[in-house]
Amino acid sequence: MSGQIPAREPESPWIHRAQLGLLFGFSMFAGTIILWVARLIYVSWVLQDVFSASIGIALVAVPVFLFLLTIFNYVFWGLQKGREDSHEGKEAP
Amino acid sequence: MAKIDWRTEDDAVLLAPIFETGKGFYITVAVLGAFVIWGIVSYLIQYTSGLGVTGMNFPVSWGFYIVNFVFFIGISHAGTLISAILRLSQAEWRRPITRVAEVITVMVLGIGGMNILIDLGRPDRIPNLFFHGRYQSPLLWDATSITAYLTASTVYLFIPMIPDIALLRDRCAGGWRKALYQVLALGWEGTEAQYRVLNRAIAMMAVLVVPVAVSVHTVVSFVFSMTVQPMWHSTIFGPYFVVGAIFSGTAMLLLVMAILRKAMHLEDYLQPIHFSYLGLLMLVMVLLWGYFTFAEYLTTYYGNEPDEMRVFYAKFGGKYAPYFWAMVVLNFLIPLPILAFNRTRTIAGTVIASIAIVIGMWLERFIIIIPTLANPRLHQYPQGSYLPSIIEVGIMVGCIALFALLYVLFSKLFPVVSIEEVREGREKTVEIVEERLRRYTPGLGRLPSGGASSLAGEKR
Repeated sequence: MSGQIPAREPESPWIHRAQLGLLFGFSMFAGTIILWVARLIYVSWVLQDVFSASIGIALVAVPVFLFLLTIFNYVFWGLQKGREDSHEGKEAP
Repeated sequence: MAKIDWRTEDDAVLLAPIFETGKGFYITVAVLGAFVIWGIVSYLIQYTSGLGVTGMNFPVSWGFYIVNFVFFIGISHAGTLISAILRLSQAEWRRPITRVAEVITVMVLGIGGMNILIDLGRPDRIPNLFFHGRYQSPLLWDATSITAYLTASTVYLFIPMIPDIALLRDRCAGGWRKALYQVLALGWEGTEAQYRVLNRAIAMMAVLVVPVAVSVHTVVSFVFSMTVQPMWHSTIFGPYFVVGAIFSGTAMLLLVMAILRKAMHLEDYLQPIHFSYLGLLMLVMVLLWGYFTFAEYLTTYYGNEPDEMRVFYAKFGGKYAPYFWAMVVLNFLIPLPILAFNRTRTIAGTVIASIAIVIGMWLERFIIIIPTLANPRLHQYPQGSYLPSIIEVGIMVGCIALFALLYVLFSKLFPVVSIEEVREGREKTVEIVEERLRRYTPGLGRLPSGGASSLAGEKR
């Protein structure tokens, strides 16, 4: 991708707080689903209720949500760092 | 920084619907809103009176809602999957269509999932799913996979949109929209480091969403194939559903592209070649769908198992024959000749084929679900029948209108064609493609830069 956008004036602090809220909300959402899947595995183990199937589904679902969580954090913090580096006059390697 | 005047830019036509609101927008929203209200009122009647107001009865306990659920989840394959495959294969013509496709996915996935909730006779018991759910049930596999796909598709739609959101932020005068763009832009300034992060994330997401998308419709098919009901208990149901999903999804994508092209004057962006290339993809899907349908029905016929044959004959010559043969005509006989020839694979041709396929694929979902339920394996159950009530029709119309309304509202807030990708294509495509050709075409590697295109010109 290309095309630089000219340097901008600093944003107000509440914008950054709202962005952190967005990240927190997404992390909570993905985290809750991972916990929910973990609970379903626990219940299936306690009830001896097709434990193997639960593990099979969880093996797919949990890594997907962990990956999404990682990607979202990577983009969020990567963009913040990329901006700070440019303001300090240095580019990331 | 002074606000940039969007009217003077190359891609002003993409920004115009966001910054200017015509009478057409309000009329469209009002009409679609009226249909959505019809759907909401229908649901409220069902909510207060129970499922007795629907046409569902014993043994046909799944009707329009589950048909719509499978249909909408299938349509969702249009976006993320096609977009990801085109990105991964570096198809340069993808640039104006990726977002059009990705938005479809996010919208219809939500509506598809909603149909499951609408189908519940006791929606007040939804919390039981979270507190007492059991992975023994394929229905819960569905809930998990659809949530994963919806989340992945939303992230996959959002990340490539960040530069465009920043562009809007810098052109917006103020108010809540400016604040929204400021928050969602995540501090994008277009530095080299930010581009590196974004491109890496998009590439990783593209790799992730392909298997997730394929798994979702496979899991949807498991809802049927994990039972021993006649003509459901099939090992090819997973790939059959995935093929059908990509098939209907591509058709819906072409329809949406044609509507946007006309309504938003995107003739320069959505060119006949995009329709032709997607038409070719759809042609492949027509043939694949025909192959799977033939294999599925031939296996049943040759096996000649009595319970299966009751359903088979109900479809071929019985009560459901008109729907079955309409499906064959709409999914195969109409689109095949249109899409097979260059002369007919035009915008008009692909739109006609797409309309046929969207209707045909809805009929396919109907034909898979209803005749089997009406002819259950256990003979002590009576043969059933199903006629949808006006409530179900109202909710279905409401769902379709909701999809269109959400798309219109999205297009009011964000560009439906990725400005960033189009700009990148404008600036770099020739260079990128030439470099790629140089790498794999024998003889071109020795030519100086720019020689590949001139050599191609000489040969022509």
